[in-house]
Amino acid sequence: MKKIFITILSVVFAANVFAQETKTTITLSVSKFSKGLVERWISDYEKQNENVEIRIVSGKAAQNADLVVTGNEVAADRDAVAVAKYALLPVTAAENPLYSELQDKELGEKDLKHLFFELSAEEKLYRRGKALWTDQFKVVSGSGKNAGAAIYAKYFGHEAADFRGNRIAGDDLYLLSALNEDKEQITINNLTYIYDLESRQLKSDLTILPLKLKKRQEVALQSGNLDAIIELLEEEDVDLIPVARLNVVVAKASTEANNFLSFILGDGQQANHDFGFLQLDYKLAQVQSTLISTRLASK
Amino acid sequence: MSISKILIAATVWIAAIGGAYAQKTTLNGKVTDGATGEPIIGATVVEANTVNAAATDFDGNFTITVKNIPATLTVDFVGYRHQEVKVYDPEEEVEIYLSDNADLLSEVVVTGYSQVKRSSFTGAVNSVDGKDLKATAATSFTEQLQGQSAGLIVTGSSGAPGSGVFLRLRGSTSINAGNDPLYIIDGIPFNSQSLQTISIGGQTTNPLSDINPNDIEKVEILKDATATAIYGSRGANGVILITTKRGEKETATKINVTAEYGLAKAAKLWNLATGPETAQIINEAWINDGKDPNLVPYRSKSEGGLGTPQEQPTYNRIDVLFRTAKQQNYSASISGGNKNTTYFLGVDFNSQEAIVKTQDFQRFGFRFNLDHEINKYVTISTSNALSRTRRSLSRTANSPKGILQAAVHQSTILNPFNEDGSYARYGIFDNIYAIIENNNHHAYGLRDINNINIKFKLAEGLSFKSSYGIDYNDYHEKRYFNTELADGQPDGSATDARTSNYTFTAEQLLNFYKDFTPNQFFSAFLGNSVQKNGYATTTINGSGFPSDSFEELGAASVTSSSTSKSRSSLISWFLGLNYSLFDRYSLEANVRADASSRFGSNNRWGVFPSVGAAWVVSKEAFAAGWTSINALKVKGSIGLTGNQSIDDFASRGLWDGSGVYNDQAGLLHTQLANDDLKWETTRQWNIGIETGLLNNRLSVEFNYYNKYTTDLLLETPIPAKTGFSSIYSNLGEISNKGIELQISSTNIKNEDFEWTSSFNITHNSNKIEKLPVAFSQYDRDWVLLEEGKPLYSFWLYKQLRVDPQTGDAVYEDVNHDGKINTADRQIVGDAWPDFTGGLRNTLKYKNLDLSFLINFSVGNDVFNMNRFFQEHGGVRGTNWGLWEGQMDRWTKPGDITDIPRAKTIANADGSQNNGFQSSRFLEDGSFARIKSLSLGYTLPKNAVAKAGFENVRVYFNVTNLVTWTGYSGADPETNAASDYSHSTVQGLDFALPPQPRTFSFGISANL
Repeated sequence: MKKIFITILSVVFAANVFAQETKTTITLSVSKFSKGLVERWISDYEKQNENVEIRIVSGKAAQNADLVVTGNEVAADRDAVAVAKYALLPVTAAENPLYSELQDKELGEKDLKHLFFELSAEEKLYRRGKALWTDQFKVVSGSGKNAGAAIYAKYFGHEAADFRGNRIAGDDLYLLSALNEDKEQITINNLTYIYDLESRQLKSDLTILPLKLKKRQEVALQSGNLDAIIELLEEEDVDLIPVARLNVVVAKASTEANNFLSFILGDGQQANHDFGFLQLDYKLAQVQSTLISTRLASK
Repeated sequence: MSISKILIAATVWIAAIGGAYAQKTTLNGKVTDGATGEPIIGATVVEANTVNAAATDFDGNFTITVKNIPATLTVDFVGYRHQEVKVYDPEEEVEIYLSDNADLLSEVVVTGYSQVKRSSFTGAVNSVDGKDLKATAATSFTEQLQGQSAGLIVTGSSGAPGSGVFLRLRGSTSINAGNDPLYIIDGIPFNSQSLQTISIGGQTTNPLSDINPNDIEKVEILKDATATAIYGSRGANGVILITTKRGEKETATKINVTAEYGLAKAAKLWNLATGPETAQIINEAWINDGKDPNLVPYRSKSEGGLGTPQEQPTYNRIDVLFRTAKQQNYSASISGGNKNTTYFLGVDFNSQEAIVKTQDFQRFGFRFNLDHEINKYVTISTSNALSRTRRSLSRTANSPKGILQAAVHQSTILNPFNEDGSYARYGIFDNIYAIIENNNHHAYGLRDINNINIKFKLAEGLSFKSSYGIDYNDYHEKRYFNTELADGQPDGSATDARTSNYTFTAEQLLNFYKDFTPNQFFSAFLGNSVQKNGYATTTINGSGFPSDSFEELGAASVTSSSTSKSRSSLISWFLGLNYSLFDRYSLEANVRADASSRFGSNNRWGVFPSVGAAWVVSKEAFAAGWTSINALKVKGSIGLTGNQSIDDFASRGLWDGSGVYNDQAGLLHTQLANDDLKWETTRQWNIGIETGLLNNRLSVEFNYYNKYTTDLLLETPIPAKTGFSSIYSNLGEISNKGIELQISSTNIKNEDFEWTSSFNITHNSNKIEKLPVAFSQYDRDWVLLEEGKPLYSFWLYKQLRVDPQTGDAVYEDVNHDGKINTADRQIVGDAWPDFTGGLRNTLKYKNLDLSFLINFSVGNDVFNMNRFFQEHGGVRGTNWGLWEGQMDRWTKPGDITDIPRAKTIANADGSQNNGFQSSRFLEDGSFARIKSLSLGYTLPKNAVAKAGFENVRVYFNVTNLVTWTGYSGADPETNAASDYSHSTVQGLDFALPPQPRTFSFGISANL
C-alpha cells in the first residue's frame, strides 16, 4: 500500500512539474502611470499565448524583474525598446486664485522656464536680483525616479533638481493630490493622469496653463479632449509640449520576452490611446522591431 | 452576551484602537546630488514640525518612521538648498535630489562697467534696497543711507530740509581736493557740487535733494580699489551707484500712488539763562573784574541802575522761531512692458516746511525711463529726470544777523520791541520778529539728467554699448533785505545770483563674457569715455531802492556785478578682466588711464590699475563636511585711484581783468602756474571674508582696508614777498585704515512670521602722515591740520580745572613759560567717531510689518560754539544771551565746577576765563538714535481687489524718534562749517536747527 501511495504521488508530482515547465513566466516591473496599459498588453497577449505568464512585480522583487517598464531615459548601453510615447503638460487646479494672472497670457518657452525652474547663473547675473512676475506662483514637482520632472526639465535645458518650490515623493499621480491641497500650486503631469480615461475629457478640477501655440494646436489643447491632443501630438511636434518614450528595459532577454515585445509593437499599439499614450510612429516602430529581431534575439 | 465575550470584544477593540495610535509608517529613501547623482552622506532628514530625524548613510540611504501619510520630510545639508518633500505613497522609495545652494554668493553686484556674481567678485560692495530708504523722512536718499552700510559715515549738517549732508566712505583722503564719493545715476555721473553762492551763514544746500528717493530701485556702495579703480580719477573717495526703477517685460501696466502727510517738531532745543540770571552774571563779572560793587549795572533803578536782577523780565525768542512743521509727499508712477519694450513714468511732489520759520523746501519731479529691443541684436535705453526745486532760506550758523542768532544768541533780558513798538536791535543781531515777518530769500533749482544708450549684440557674449548723458543744473537765488531788516539799512539791499553747471559724458564700451566650460567663466570690457564740465555764475548786488515795494534789481540805484566761467575735460581709457574657475577661484584686473585738463601740461595723464582675487573656500572638497559654515569666501584687492577734484584752472597762471589802477582798467596776476601739478593718488588695499552660517540664515562680512594718499593737492602757503599767498602743489600724505563688520540674519521665518536683522559697525583711523606746515582752519583757528594728527582736529587751550580757591580757569602750559598764549594751544580731540554703524530690524506678521533703524556714532567730538559764545561770563556784555549752564559757574572758594567765575578781564597768565578757545566747550558727541520706525499694514487682497487695487498699504513712520546722547546741545549731528572750503572743518555746532522728530502717515496703493 505504501509503495502504491508513493508511486501515485510521484506521478502526480512529475505531472505537475511537467505542467509547470511548459508555462514560461516573465516578470515585469512597471512605472505606475503605465500600469493600466501594461496590464492590457499582458491580458491581450496571454489570451493568445496561454503558455506564458506575465507577472507584474513590485518591491524587492522588482529589482530582479525580467523587464522594466519606465518613462525615463535609458542609458545607451542598456537594452531597451520603446513601446509607446507619452506627453507632459503644465497644469494647475481649476480653482487656482492666481490663474487670472495667467489666463490672458500665452506662455512661451521663457515663461515656462521662469515659472518652473530656478534662474540660471547667467539669468541671475543679468536680472541683477530683480523679482520676476512668475515668482508668485508656487510649484510642486515629483522627485521619484519615475517622475515626469526629469523629462520636462531636460526638455527645457534643466535638471530635475532645478525645479522651484516643493517636491513630492512617489508617483506623479500624487501631484494632483498636492494640487488639491494647495490650489495655488502649478505642476506638470502626463496625459494619463490629467484626463479622465473613460470620458476622455480633462478632469474637471484641473486646467491646463495657456501655451503659446499655433492656432490649430491651441484649439486641440483647449478642447479638453484627450483624443484631440493625442491626434495632434502624433501628427506633429509641438514646441512647449515634451513627448517622451515609454521604454521597456530588457534585464533578462528571452524568446518569450521578445515575442511579447513584438506583440506590443504590433497589435498592442491599439491599446495605447485608451490609456492616454501615443502610438509609435511607423518608422520608430520599425526600428524597435529590428532591434528585437537582431540584438535582443542574439542574447 | 456573556461577560467573557464582552471582555474579549473589548480587548480586541482596545487593541485595534491602540494599534491605530501606535501604527506608524516606515519610509525608506535616498538623498543624492541632483547634478552629479552622487549620494549625499550625512544629510539630515526630518519629519516636518517634529524632532523625528534621520541621517543618510554612506550610500545616501535613510529610514525614518513617520506618524502619518502623507508625511512631509525636510532635508538639509551644507552647501545645498533646503528641500521639502511630501510623501504620499509609503511603499515607494523616497528619492530626494538636492541642488547646490549658491544663494549667498549668487547675488549679483554691479561694479564698474559690468555685473558679476558676488561669489566671483573680489571687491567690497554693499547694496541698499530702495524699499529700505523709505522709512526715513528726508528730501534726499543720502540722509536715508545713514546707518545702512558699513564704512559709510553720513551726518546731517542741519535740520533744515534740503540742506547739505556730510558723507564719507572709508574716511577722508584729501585736504583741498574733494572728499565726496562719485555718484552715478543710471550710468550718468551726477554733479554733487552745491551751486549756492549767496551765503546763509555756513549751511549748504544738498544737490542730491533734486532726486526723488521714491524713484530709486537700488543703491550700491563701492568701497575698495577693485570696485572703484575702474572709475579712475573719479572713484578715489568711493562710488555710489544709483539705479532707478524701470518697467518689467511682459507685465501688465502697474500703477502706484503714494500719499504721505507728516508733522515735524524739534525734539530738543536750547535752554538759556533767564533775565534775572543774566543780570546776576553781569553783576558778578563786574565785581570779579574788581570794579565798584556799588555800581553794578543791575542795581535798583532808584540808585541809577537798570533794576535789580529780580526785577528783570525774560523774553523767550526760541518759542517764536520754532514751529510744528508740515510735510507732504505725493508720488505716482506707471510702469509695465511687453516682450520688447518696458517703461517707467513717475511724478512726485514733495513739500517740507522746516521747523524754523522762514525755511522750507519743495520739489516737483518727473522721471521717464524706457528700454526697447529693436530686434534681438539691438537695444536702446533712455533715462530722464527733470526736477524743479524751490527753497525758502534764511541765515543761520556763523551769520550774526541770521535767524537762529536772533532767537538763540540774543539775551533773554532784552525786549525785542522798543517802546514805540518798533523792532529793537542790539549789537550785531537783527530782530527775530523782523526777520520772520520780512525774510525774503528764495532759491529755484532746475535739474535735468538725461541719458541715452544703444547696445549692439555683436555675437554670443559680445556686445558694444554707446552712451551719451548730460547732467544740467541751474540754480537761481534771490534775496532782498527790506528796510525793516538790519542788512536792509538804509534803503534796501538785494542780491540776484544765477549759477549753472553741466556735465556731458560720452562713453563707448565693448563687453565680452564666455563660459568656456561649465567650470570656467571669463569676462572683459574695454572702453573709452569723454567728459566735459562747464560752470558759470553771475551775481548782481543792488542797493538804494525807492521803497520796500520795489524788490527787483532794476529798481536799485547802485548795482555791482560779477561773473565767472570755467570748463574742464576728462578723457579716459579703461580695461577690465575677470576670470573665474569652478565658481571658486576668481581673479580680477582693471586699469584706467585718465587725462584731466585741470593738471599741469606735464602731468595730465594718470594711470590707475587694480587687481583682486577671491577664493570660495566653502566649495572645496575639504569643506564638504562642514556643518556650521554654509558659505565662506576670502577676498583681497589692491589698486590705485586718483583725485582731480580741484578748481578747473588750478594748475594755470591766472590773470583777473577787474584790476583797476589810477582809474585805468588793468590786469591783475592772481594765480601762479604749476605745470607739474599732478593727480592726487590713493593706494588702497582691502582684505575681507564673507560667510554664511546656520543654513545661510546668518551672513557675516568683515573687511580690513588701508588707504594711503600721496601727492595731496594742497594750496600751499608761500612767502608773501612773492606777491601771492599760496600756490596749488602736490604736498602731503594722508592715511585711512579701518575695519568694517556687516551681519545680516533671518531670525525667524515661517509661513506667517518673519524677522530679519542687519547690523553694521565701522572703525576708521584717519591720520595726516605728512604735511610740511600746519594749517589752521576757520575763524578763531578752531581746527588745525597738523602732521601726525587726524583731519578735523580741534586746536584749543586745554582746560585742566577751575581753581577751587580762585574760581579761575587753569590751562595746560604746554611750553612751561608761565604764560598761556597761542604756543599753548594743542589738539585735544577730533570730529572723527571711533565707531559708527546701524542696526535694522524688520518684522512681518501676516499683513503687518514693522521695521526700525538705529544708527550710532561713538567717540566723535563736537565743539559747542553756542556755549563758547554764551557761557561768556559777562565778556560779551548784555547783548549776547547766556547759556543756562553758565549758572553752574564758580561762585565761592571751595566750589568744584568746570565753569570758571564770571569775569571779563584776563588772568595773570594771560588766559581768559571766558570767551577763550577752551577745551571745556569740546564735548563728547556720541549718540544713538532711532533714526526711523515704520509700522505698516497691507490690506487683505480680497478686500482691495474688489476696488480694482492689487494691494494697498497704510503706514505710520517716525523719523528721529529718540536720541540718546550726553551732548548738551540740541543735536550732536550738526556742522556750522559745511560750506567751508573743501569741508575741512567738521563738528562745529553753532546756531543750526536740530534734526526734527517727524511723524507721518501714508498710504501706498498699486493697481
